[in-house]
Amino acid sequence: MIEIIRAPAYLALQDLGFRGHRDIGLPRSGAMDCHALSSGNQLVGNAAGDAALEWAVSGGSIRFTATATIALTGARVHGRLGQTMIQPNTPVHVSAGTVLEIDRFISGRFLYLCVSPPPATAPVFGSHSTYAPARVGGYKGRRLRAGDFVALGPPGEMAATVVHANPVNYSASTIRVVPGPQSEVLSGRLLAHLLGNRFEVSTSSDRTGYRLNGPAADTTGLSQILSEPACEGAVQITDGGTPIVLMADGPTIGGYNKVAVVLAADLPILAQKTAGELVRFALI
Amino acid sequence: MTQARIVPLGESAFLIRLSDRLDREINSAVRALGDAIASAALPGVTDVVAANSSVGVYIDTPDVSNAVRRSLEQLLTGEYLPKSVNEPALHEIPVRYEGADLHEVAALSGLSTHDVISIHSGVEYQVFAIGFAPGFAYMGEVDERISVPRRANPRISVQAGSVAIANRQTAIYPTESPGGWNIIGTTSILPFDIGRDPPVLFRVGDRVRFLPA
Repeated sequence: MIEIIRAPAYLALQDLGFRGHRDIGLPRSGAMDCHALSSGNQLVGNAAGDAALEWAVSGGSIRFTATATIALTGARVHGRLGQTMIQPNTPVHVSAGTVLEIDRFISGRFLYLCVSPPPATAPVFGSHSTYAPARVGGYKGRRLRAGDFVALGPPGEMAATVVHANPVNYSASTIRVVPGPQSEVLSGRLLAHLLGNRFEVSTSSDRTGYRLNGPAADTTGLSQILSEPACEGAVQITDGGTPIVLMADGPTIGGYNKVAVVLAADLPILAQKTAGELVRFALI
Repeated sequence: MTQARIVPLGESAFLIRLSDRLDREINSAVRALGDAIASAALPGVTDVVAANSSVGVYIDTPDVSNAVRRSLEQLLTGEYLPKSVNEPALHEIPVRYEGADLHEVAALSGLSTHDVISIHSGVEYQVFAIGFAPGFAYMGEVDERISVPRRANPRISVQAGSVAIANRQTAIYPTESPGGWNIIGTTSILPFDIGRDPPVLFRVGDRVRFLPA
């Protein structure tokens, strides 16, 4: 088991998310950075889509009650086992009773603590992910708190210690998009505005969506549309003329104009941007 | 029925728009089309979402060969209209009309609370879309006489089972959540209950009647 000793501001179980339930209003949820989750799981010898601990905002500490193999992927952090620093993207064996401390985040937003054997909560809607807004899945439908114990599965085979080359360039500031269903509204001016400016990730960004600050588009004459199915990565233009990108917990339907949609391959890059970081969008 | 249009929704989804308008008939056709696509079990399709006058079709990898798009085009030429694969259900929902905003809705409408209750419960609604939260069903249309806008200041917490109206739509909050709709009553029938099978009560196209309890 994993005991949460000191919980960070955000800590939750996530896997690749829910599938096949958008019709009831349940988004994919799951890992914000699926690449980091999958590569971390592979490092420790798990299946790519196994559940892991998604960790954000601040430091904390957890204790392993049994031996395990762990890897830290995604955000860069100052993390250690006792006084031994943990290298990112590297499998590490931990013995029973070991305490993992994350002191602080250095860069990026979501850290993945992948563990073999992986967390073994009962799946809900076929997933171990936590959709906290509706208290669905994960650990009692909520974030982990101090004093919680997360059960791990039975010990598996010895983890493969392959070094996984990381093909995602997290330092990229250009996010690739394809045109969205409303790319032509206002004669394409909104899409042109999106592509022609730099935007800053707002502090009011979360798993639902990333709000971007920047020059506001002229939305004179723009009306909301009849609410229709939306998707992860959809770049919506608000009434105020600035974009919101729908993320893992984003609404399944919506009435904002979607002028572009971020490529799935670039969602991990955007997901890892912290408040104040600059991005621009490029059409492919 | 106007010509259906297929529009890409990113790399891995399509929107099929039956109309830019919304009425019961269009919405029923959307339900039927959604059911037809879901039952066709096209390779790679993970989700089919019928909502208002569109259907969203989600696939697990980009449709580079256009195979899914071609299958959808073929389906659209078929006879999926107007009968749904599954007939819409009629749900009867007992409501205690004593919500926190009932008096305000009455005042804004220039009616008595008794009138608001009889007008709200006098209509058979249709579920036009599900979203915002698991099981949250947007139902219409609310009678114009009691159509009031969302509250200027949304509540931080609305209890599950709250029956509310906003503009021409009504809904039951499925879980405790923030919310800006006007609460006129409560029901013990929850639209989303993870312990129930199926967990979600309503499907798009279903009919709903509210019964004063």
